Amino acid sequence: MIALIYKDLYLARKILIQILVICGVFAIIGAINAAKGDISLIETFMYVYGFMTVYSIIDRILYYEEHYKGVYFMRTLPIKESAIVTNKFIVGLILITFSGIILLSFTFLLHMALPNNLSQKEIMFLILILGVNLIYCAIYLAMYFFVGYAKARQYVIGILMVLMLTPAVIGMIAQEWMLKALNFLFATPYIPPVVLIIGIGIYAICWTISIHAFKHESQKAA
Amino acid sequence: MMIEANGLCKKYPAFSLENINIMLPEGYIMGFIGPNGSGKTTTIKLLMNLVKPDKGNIKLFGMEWDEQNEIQLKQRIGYVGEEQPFYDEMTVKWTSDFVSRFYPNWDDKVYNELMVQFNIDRKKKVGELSKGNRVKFALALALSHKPDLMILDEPTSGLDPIIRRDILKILSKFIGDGKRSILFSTHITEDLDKIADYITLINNGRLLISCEKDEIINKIKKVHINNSEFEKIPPSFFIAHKSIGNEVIAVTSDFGAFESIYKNMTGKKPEVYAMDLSDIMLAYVKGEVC
Repeated sequence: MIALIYKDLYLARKILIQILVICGVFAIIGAINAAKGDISLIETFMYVYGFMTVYSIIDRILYYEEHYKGVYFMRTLPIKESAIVTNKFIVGLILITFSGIILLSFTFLLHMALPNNLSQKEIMFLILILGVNLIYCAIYLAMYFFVGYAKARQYVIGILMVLMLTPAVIGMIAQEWMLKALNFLFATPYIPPVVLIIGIGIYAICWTISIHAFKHESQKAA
Repeated sequence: MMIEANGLCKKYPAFSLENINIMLPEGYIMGFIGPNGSGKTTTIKLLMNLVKPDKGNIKLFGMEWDEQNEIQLKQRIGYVGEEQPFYDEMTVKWTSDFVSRFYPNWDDKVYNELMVQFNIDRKKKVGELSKGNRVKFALALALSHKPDLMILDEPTSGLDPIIRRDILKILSKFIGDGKRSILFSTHITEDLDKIADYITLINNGRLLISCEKDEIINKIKKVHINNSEFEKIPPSFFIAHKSIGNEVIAVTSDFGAFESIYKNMTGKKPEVYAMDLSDIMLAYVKGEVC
């Protein structure tokens, strides 16, 4: 299992490095802006980036598997089929944790440069990002094992577009309602943890059904 | 028995494999031949448990495929496919390190010797290897964990005769101790003329023949006889024939039986020519006589 996890992370090493570099750039811009007392823009960037990080890395790993027929290769080796699926879900968890740590560290760094402390809103947002990341990562991986890379990617891009565009569109046509909704979301302390718990549940369900789907679908694909 | 496959059936929308039986004892090489699209790769995927048969059963080393012994069985098999689906971006060294982790019997000494023999640069990316070197690398990986059974799915197709000869030498050496076996699928029958002990021929998903190579060579021969003699012999004695003037060149299905009936009928021996595996395959598959 460790060999499989290492393989995936090693394959995605370039994009991991790119993400770290971009985070570094964000940190510098953030520090400059923070010195001027404005962190809103850089925080927005970081939150969007928090969503995109996991998607980009998972997508790259799945792309490599598709491009190099990696799953077929692994099935010719003495590896249990369930291990091939489990490996991907563990990698997903590692990446989500990694992106969470990066976001948290970045937010802490920003606030070190500012007089005010970390707000509840920011902590709630981080928890929310973690939950949402778990949900769409689980859905992407499950779809990959059900319908293959190409279709899974299409569906997930669709979901991401909806996730990003819906708040923007609602914000344009009903700005006041949107603000109220957001305030309610972050002022109600149990909502983000609930999303996180739902995320964990969905992740576990997708993990389990993916093992069954893979055993069935891989026979067809071969 | 290394391989015992009985009554294998697999149905796809455009192709079906029907009632394939394969028996491969220890210490032998079986040539698995047939034209492109005849079902060789499907059969090998069934044997490798990459697809499940609709009917029939498979035993490797006396064990059936199931979740409990899947890893144990695969650790005893060296598999080289027609394509080698490696991660092209990774180096040869990285790939061998990765693969070696799954085989407790992995022997670095064997691997290093093969890599030196094949002259493959370990620092190169797998994607930069030539087709021949890619096959050699796959073969080195498959041999380095000291498998009991090698399953090769057309590894030599598209390779030049020099590389093919090298590979055949290594395979001959592999079964040298008499305890290991090879199932070698190919449509280049010249390779099997040299090394195979058994031959299994399939076409359109149907098993046409499966027995010792010498038995096939002895049974299936080309005979030149008269038209009138040909007409008196039951058609079941022949796999294929062609007429040239008053003469018929026919391929016998059982030369011994044919010879005795021919001698009784004419009082003389038939004019007979040996056939190689490619001629035999052509007679069986296309009904043509060379």
